[in-house]
Amino acid sequence: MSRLSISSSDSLDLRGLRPWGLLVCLALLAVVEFGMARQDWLWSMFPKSPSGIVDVLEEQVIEPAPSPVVVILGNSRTRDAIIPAEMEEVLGVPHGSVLNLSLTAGEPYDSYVLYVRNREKLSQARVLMIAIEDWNLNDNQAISERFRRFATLSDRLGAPDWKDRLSLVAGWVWRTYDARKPLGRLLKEMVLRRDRSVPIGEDGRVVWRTDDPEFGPEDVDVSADLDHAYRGFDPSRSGEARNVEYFRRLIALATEDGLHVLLIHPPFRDKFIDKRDSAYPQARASFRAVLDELARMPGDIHVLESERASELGIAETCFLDYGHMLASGARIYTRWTATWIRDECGDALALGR
Amino acid sequence: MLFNTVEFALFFAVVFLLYHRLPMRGQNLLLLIASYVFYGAWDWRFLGLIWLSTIVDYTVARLMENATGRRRKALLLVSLCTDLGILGFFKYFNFFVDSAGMLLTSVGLEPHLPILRIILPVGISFYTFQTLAYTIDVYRGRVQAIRSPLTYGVYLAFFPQLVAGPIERAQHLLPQFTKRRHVTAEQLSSGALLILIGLVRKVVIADIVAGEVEAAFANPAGMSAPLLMRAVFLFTLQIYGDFAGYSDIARGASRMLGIELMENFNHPYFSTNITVFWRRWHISLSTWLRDYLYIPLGGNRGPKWFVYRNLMLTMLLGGLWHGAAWTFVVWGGLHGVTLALHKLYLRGRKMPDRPTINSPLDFVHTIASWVLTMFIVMLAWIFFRASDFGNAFSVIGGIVSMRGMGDISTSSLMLPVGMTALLLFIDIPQFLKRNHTVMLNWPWLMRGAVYASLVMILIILRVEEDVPFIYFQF
Repeated sequence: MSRLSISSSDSLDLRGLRPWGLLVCLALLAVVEFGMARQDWLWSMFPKSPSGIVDVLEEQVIEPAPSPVVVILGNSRTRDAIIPAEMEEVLGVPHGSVLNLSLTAGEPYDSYVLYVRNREKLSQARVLMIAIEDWNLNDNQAISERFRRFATLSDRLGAPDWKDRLSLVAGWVWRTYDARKPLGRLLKEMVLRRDRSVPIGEDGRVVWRTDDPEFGPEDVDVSADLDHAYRGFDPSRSGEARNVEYFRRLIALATEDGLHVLLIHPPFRDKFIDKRDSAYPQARASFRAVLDELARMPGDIHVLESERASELGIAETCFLDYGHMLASGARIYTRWTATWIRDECGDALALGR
Repeated sequence: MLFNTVEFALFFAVVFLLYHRLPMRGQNLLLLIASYVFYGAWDWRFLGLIWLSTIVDYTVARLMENATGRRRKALLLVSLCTDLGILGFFKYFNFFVDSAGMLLTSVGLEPHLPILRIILPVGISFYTFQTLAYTIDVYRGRVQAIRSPLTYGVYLAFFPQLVAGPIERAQHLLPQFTKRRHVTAEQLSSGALLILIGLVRKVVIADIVAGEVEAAFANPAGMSAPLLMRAVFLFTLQIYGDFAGYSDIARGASRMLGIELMENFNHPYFSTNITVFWRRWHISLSTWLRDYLYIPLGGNRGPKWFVYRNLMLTMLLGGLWHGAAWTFVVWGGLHGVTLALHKLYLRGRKMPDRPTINSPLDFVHTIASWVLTMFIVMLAWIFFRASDFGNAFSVIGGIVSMRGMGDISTSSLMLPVGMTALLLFIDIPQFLKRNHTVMLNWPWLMRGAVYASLVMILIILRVEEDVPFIYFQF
């Protein structure tokens, strides 16, 4: 047998290499890669998972919706804060025409990708409400499962941290790496029974809690949430945050489709805002600057901001925690936003009717 | 730079490819640069400490070769003072000041002692012991002082084992840097396999249970006895997975570069007595303590109480080596006491590494011995893991109180059972065949399936954040 070597110093001698085990290993990994990780069913098979919920929303809410008038994209706070039926009543639009498509742990990228994937249907609406949080300006956030599922190569290369970029590009090349969470769920299902329930409520909103009380506690500890939202926050670079770019893209698309864009920032407990202002005094100003910049984009863009609950007459007990509203608070907030839409975009709503 | 990160994978790939294209001297130079980059990635400021130890010990050893008598001793003293001085300052300064303060307070004084904010340089205990072993061995005439400063620099800073061992001996490691390296296909395969096994031990077993252990030790008062027992059991898995996993990766990476590192773990949890446990747990440290502390103290020579004293001192200092806290001293002390008791029980009989089972009674005896050994090991781990004595006694008290004995669900058992099964799947074949890369001898189809399964487990079960190795703090 000839001597195989990649080295000029002959320190590596590959004679007698038996690669069969390695080849079998690679073949099996290829089966997982092409048979599972690159297949959409793997991502959508668990309705309650962060990626599966997107398919559920698309199939069970967006597709059957006759003609949307108001579409809301955001996160769990927005999901809790706006009650579609309440808004439909104030606006006087048909039942099912207000779609609150906010996702649990929803990020600007999710709002963007949900709009892009369902543009034909969602562009029929008159108003697009986009939730924006100040922690969206913080680039120090973990990469989500939905981002791993949908992100293009250029999205991945736009990740601010080089380690994240590396990991995302690795996942783009080797989808098994990206699909490790759905694959883990599949593995778990082999041991435990699969939860097939669909987490969509009667009003089309994602259900992420059940049996909420009407009123919550008077006081809660908000420090952990504050730390989670602002850890590593750099106010001087907030305008360059990756998420701001997704807001820009989404607003541009909606404007192109002729929609009124409403940037909303649902209220928090006053205590959370007080603590934020004291711990991160520059956060408010940088958030405001980004909001202003987005509002100056071409199109019909408005900002509806009210971060202190007390400003809208929402009591501290109307919150479950630092910023998730219970129905008692959501009714007030929904009516407030709906009234604003009716007053400011009434003509557009009439057109859509 | 952690072994369990993509950065290390890229770093190692680059080093590996360059390394095998270079002649021997170039390989050493590359290893030296790579090692300093590896260490500097954590904190470049502490490279100075490694350089200081390298320069002092290289020079001392060279001078010692031509010195005799008091001059030779004085040179050794320079080395000991430098190395132990650095270690003492960076690792133990605040510990000794705190302890002195507590002592003075207990006798009614109000001391105002200085407390410094000192960052513990990663791996300082490991490379300090390695360089100490070298100068002591040169002093004893067991090793010749190395002429090339480059070779000595690589010996001390060799990146696979720089921050958490194995603590190598000059006799074993130095000659490997002075001759041409030759990596065969078998070494390459076994090195890669060791890395894979090490990653599974660390990333899957140790990192997954780490969160559960942390939660239990952070609030033992709020935990039922079964959940505390579960946490102690999980920590037993974690510490082994973490450290043995590190050692596997270190040995595997090193083997792929043609350098053989010593075995650091040999299935310690299969030990049926505490003496054998210490022959198999952190072998490079236990043999270091034996050769440079226990034997110089007198070892097995002299009256019995003398031997037990030597054993206790060695284990207490071994405990202190791990961390600047009295909980580590107690951990070492517990092992010292049980080792002494076992020595007493043996009455000079030799202890075989593996028990022989010729009858059902032997079998029962072996099982009972194993249970007792594991009980002692796990009890000692409580002190090792606890933040302080209050925390340790809170865990022990919670278990002894037997509170909430019904508070254990099938789902809470899944993690310990699953992780134990995975560990046994790796360890049992290795133990039975006395070969850490026994999988290479399996039929190729089975081998391929096992590799693929391990890779998939590694990918699917890894926690999102890179968790540092526990022994980095020592």
